[in-house]
Amino acid sequence: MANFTISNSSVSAQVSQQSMTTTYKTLLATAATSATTGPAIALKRGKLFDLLVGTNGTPGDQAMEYQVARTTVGSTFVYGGIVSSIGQQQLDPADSNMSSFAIVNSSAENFTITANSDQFYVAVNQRASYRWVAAPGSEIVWPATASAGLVGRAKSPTGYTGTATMQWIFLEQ
Amino acid sequence: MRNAGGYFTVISPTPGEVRLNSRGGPREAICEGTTEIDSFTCYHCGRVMMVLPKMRPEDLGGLCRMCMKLVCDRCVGHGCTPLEKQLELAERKGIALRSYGL
Repeated sequence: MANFTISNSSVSAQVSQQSMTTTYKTLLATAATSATTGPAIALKRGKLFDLLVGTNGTPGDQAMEYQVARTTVGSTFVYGGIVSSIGQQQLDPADSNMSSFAIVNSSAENFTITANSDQFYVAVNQRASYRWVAAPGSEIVWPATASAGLVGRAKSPTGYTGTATMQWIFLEQ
Repeated sequence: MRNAGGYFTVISPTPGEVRLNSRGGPREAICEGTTEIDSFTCYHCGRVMMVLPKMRPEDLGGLCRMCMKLVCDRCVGHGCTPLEKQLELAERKGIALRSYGL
């Protein structure tokens, strides 16, 4: 089991964060895959156990909604490159690279969201930041099935047009 | 709650409100500074549920009498199919499809 962290920081993702609108914008997505630009890798389950969200725009009083839902990743998403280039990091440098692939700051909402599958939801003032930590055994799990994974999204129903941040810490097994 | 499945931390510079259920429901007032809320993860769908102080049990979800685990309000009364079983089914389906070259 190896632990990883990814965030939608523009620096590590190498793609700009998307401005918020009244519809969901994808900040992060990960899904199991056996496809890779390097050696073939095995499908692995992922378990999300730590989640941090917030905004990094001009402070104000707007509502924000954050959601993590199950998804099947489409084929025409726009993403920040292969896994090794988007700033995912092993928490233990001795571990191997992540076998799931990650999509950061997608500019195309080409995710099939499974109906009624939101695994996490919170609506807060944009000034607030938010963290959820799972106890062992209570993680959000995605299966070792190709293209199945989780997507983290955010929107502002009241008009915040700045950018939002999200960071995940998860393990693969 | 005892044996919580996790916890939320909201850090807010001002007092405000937070809504923790995508299906609606009341907003929870939060104070300035750090607010912590326990959570559990639904054993049937994996959804993270917040356990607010003095929350009515029926708003929270329920206890599945088959697997004796906590489930969310969305899964109450819909039989017992633990998430682990659903994941295994999805993985078996994926393995079968790959074996057919699909």
